[in-house]
Amino acid sequence: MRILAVFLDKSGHTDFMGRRQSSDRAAIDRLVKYASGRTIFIRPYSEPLFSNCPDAHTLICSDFQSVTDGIFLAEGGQIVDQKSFDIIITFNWNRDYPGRQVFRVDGTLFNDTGHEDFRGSSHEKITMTIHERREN
Amino acid sequence: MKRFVLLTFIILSVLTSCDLILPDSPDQTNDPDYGGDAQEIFEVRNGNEPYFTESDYDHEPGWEYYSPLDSLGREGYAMALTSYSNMNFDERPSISQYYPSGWKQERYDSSLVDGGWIYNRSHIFGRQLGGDDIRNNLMTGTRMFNADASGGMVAFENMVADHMKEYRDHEVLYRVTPDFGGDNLLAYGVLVESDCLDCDDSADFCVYIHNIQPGIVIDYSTGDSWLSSDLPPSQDEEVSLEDATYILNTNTMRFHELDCSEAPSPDSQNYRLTDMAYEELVDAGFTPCGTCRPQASAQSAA
Repeated sequence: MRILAVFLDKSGHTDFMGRRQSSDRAAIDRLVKYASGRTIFIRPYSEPLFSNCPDAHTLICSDFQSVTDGIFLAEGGQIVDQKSFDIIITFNWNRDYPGRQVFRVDGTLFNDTGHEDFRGSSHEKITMTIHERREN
Repeated sequence: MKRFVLLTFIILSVLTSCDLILPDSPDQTNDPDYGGDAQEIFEVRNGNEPYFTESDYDHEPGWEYYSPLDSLGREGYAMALTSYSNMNFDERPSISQYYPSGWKQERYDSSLVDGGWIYNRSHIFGRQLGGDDIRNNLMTGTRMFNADASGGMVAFENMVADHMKEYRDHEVLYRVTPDFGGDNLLAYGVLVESDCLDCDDSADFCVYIHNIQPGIVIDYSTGDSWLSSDLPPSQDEEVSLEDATYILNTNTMRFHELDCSEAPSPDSQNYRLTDMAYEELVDAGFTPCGTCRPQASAQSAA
């Protein structure tokens, strides 16, 4: 099961000029909870986000294409091919941040199968949405 | 009549070539990172690294500075060393009693300007970051400049504010410098510099935000504005270099001396030669370049 996780602002921007727009401990906790022991593959850039998460199983990985099972956290404007994933998890900050690159979940490939609003440590409301791959 | 025809052609050329009236690059943009992608509300400067010098960091936490107004009543830079403890979380009091430089408020259709009113009283040092509700910290900014979701002033302030909420012991050096360019009363934009002293993350950037509003022409010398569609039709007429008085930038609506380094190059779509006099150009809404500072007396006989 290949799972993609991305953070988005209110307009769907993924990053500000290749950098993260924001971070929130509560969002990371949700991601770790969702993972339920599954490995979260990250770039070195994302490593500090998990510094206070002893329960997180993270692995630095530059080539997620060869991974068959795990969660890939795409940060900093990484270009990803949605077709190669079974599930996409989006965390929306519900805030306006600067950005240019917009990420839209491809509705022809994925169904929204659930969402949850929760209060972050520094954000009033974060929306976590699960998008599951449509059956062919 | 000949000059009027030329002028109207120039204005029509502007409208057909772009939707936005955008400023020339100010001094801060004279660096290799200036991309010139003027259709965007913001652009990154200096490789996204603030221009702060060592002495800029020599302040106590909570320090704030607001420049005094200049002789034209214009705002200067605001700067602070701020953190979570300096942030404002209370409801903002009314600031409608203040009239920043270039405040020529106009109402447009809300399909063109969010909320209808073209101008906001924009905090120079963002209120949520700790900025004061005082005259010296308020400038005239278009609705887009202030609140554009993809890169207006508030979007950048949000990024810093949420960083300081997440990391409450982090301190951020923050400076916003309005760019008036010469004697204009309305700023072309602002340079925003932010540096978190404790990490390299979302509170670190250096950007220029343009004070623009799509579909509306702005006279930066006064703050007056009008709908692009209100301008009259026109015809073409060439002016030779021998007959020219100035070089026009039809994008920024500035005019330049013929040898000005800030003038657009001849192969630019914004380049036009004119034989109009200084006063005629000013009356037509053009602004003299702040770098070469064209002189009225030398050219008015044209």
